[in-house]
Amino acid sequence: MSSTNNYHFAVIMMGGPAGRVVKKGINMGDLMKKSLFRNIDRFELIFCYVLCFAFSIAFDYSRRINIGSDYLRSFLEQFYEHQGAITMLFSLVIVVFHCRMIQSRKTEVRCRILVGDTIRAVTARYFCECLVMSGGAFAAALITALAVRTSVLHIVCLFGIMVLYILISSGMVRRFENI
Amino acid sequence: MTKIIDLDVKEKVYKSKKATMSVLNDFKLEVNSGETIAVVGKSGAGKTSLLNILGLLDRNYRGSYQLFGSKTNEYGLDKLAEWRNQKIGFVLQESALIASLTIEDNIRLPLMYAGPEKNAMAAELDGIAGKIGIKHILNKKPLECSGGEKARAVFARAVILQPPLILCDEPTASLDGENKENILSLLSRMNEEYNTTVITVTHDMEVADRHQRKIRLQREM
Amino acid sequence: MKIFNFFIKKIFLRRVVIAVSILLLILLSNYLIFISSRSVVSTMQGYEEIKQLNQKNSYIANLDPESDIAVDRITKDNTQRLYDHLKEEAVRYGILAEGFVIDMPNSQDMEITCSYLNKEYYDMNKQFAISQGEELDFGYDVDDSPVIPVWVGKGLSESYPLGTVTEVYEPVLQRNVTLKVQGILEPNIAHSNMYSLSSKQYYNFSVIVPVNEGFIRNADIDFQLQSLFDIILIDTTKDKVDEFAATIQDELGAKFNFCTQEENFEYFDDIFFSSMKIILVITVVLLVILSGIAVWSSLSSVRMMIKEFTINLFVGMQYSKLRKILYGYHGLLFLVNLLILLGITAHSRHGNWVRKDSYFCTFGFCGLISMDWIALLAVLVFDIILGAILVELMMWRIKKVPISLGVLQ
Repeated sequence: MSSTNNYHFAVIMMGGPAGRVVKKGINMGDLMKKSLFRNIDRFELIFCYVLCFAFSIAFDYSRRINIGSDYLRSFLEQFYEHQGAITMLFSLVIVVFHCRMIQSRKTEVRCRILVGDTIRAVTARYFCECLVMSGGAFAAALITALAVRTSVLHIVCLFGIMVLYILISSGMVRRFENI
Repeated sequence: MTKIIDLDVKEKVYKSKKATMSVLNDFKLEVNSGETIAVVGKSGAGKTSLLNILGLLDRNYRGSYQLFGSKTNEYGLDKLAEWRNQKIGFVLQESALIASLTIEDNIRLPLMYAGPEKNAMAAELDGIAGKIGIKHILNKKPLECSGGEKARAVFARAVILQPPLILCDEPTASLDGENKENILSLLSRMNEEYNTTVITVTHDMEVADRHQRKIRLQREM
Repeated sequence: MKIFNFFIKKIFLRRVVIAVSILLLILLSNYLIFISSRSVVSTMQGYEEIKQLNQKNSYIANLDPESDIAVDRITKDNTQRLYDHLKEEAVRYGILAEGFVIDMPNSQDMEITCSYLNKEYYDMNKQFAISQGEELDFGYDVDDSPVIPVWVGKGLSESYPLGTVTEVYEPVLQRNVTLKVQGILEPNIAHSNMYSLSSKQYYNFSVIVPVNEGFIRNADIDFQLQSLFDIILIDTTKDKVDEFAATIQDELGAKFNFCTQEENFEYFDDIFFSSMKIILVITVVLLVILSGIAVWSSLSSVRMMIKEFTINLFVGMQYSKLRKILYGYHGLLFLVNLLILLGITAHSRHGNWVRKDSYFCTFGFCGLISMDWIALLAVLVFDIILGAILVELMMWRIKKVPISLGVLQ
């Protein structure tokens, strides 16, 4: 129950569509029960998010520290000049996850609608849960970035890209309504 | 009449973490060329397992299986695939179509794996489509077709290479009366015109009654 | 081929997002390997060059990092006395001075630089290979207004073919001299920076000028000073080296360190080889992570396409055929990746030509040179290994789901 309350708190703090879902009186405890995610899916997605943020922080950290060797620095420079592109490519692992997730939950979405759920609620739950997981990873990454004194700009941009992936994949969930 | 199927299953076991289930214990089946057989039984009796074995899809059982005089247990996976392509047609529920392909592409699928000789012998697609009544949907995708049309498309794919054996798994399960009759008529025609052997798994006794022989499978408690 | 086309167009590429994502993730690992391999190859090439200069009983100079040199207070007399000292003490030395711009119009409109080397340096360092012409002649007398024999880089061979005699304003002698093209360098002859072995400059648009005592005496202070910075004292004793160092301190007010062969090898071990180990560790760790992601993505794609695979297996596709198709598909992905890498590298090399960066312009197919091709080969080897792993894992996954009528219901 306490984990459900924490979930409830996290969603309210985010406001937006998640907040609207709360205001409509949907029991957030149901959010976990009616979720399209299984525990293994949550683990995989959180792992993907953490990996992406860790990659970005490691990149920035290596730029900040005093690498004694010019040779090593000149090697790493070849990656620094393409840091944005490299981080974006790395984040494609999240795209693969979303595609697989959407594909494998097609039947489940249809079945839920048959038994009384609405596509709007299913989409909102999916969106919220993805946002909570990415938000949690983002918060952890932000704290780590501040602790090691690296740039938070890249972390924020990466979070923005993740939200974009979530929005697009949520839109794909809606397509299953009429199949 | 030649014997085309000589099946002797000692035991077929399904193991999971929680339980072990055994079906088709000491099951024997002999089928002659041109016969039509319905396999009936309650859920869990082993009907689909039987079709999997007959269709060379499942080799994990104790026993022997001679098909068209050949001992299939001795064959490798590639040889079994070749036989599935050329000697067996599967008529399944209409969900067994690839959603991203057109109906025509779905029907032509077996032709891709058949050699040029077999390709030449294959029934003309237009001819089959015309006889079955699906000419108008050849360029459509499965999602754009009705249940009856999809069922006939699955049938067309099963018979395009004119196999001597057709295995059907609940082919009429989700169809209305008219479409059900269509499929059953098509199967009858295959049997009458080409002496095709038809084995059908079904829950529907009306469908079962349309076959020459009925086999009832019972689950051992 | 028909079946392969069918699978590519109608099954794999139907899931464009997945196919592109996997392609780009593999591209990332390929880029990592490419950069790392190229760095290692370039470093090893530089090391081989430096080994030739770093000989027994030779001492290589470098300005002490904590020493400041007040260039504006140094006169030519100061620097000339240093060369005189070396002559008096009969100490042989090798010098290479670079970066002096010479006005030589050419078809590529490139800025041409001169590299000056004396006979001792020339004899030690054998990386100056020529494709046409003769060995350099160091015996001319610069006071006699001679024709100075030079070598030119491949990029200048069109504007200044073998045998060309031209009058130019010599930047270090600060007067007009006549140069004769005595040889054309092989394409992409390069010199590595001693303190950054992977960093190279190419002589495709350079003029190699042989210098002797007379030339040095007539050269300006910039040349004389620059030549001292990396001077190599050949086959001499520690006492003479220390004496020379003391003379430099007196004349220039700067501290020069002279490192022995052992000290230099120790330096390379400390700086380069330990750094290379770090690079290799970083590369391996990242490759393991990226390969793991590629494996996970491929297995995910199998899950998404299991129905298509199963139906094809139903209608007679053989597992062996499916395996070939998967190998073909991954081969295609890797080929596209290699072409993208080729494109990125060619674009980068071409950029040097566009910016007229004469020290970095290279000749080769699409401007790629040997270290680029070796790196691409390393990528190819990795791709073959990764491809085999991915395909076998995918086959294992597909076989794990038994073909069964139940799968389709």
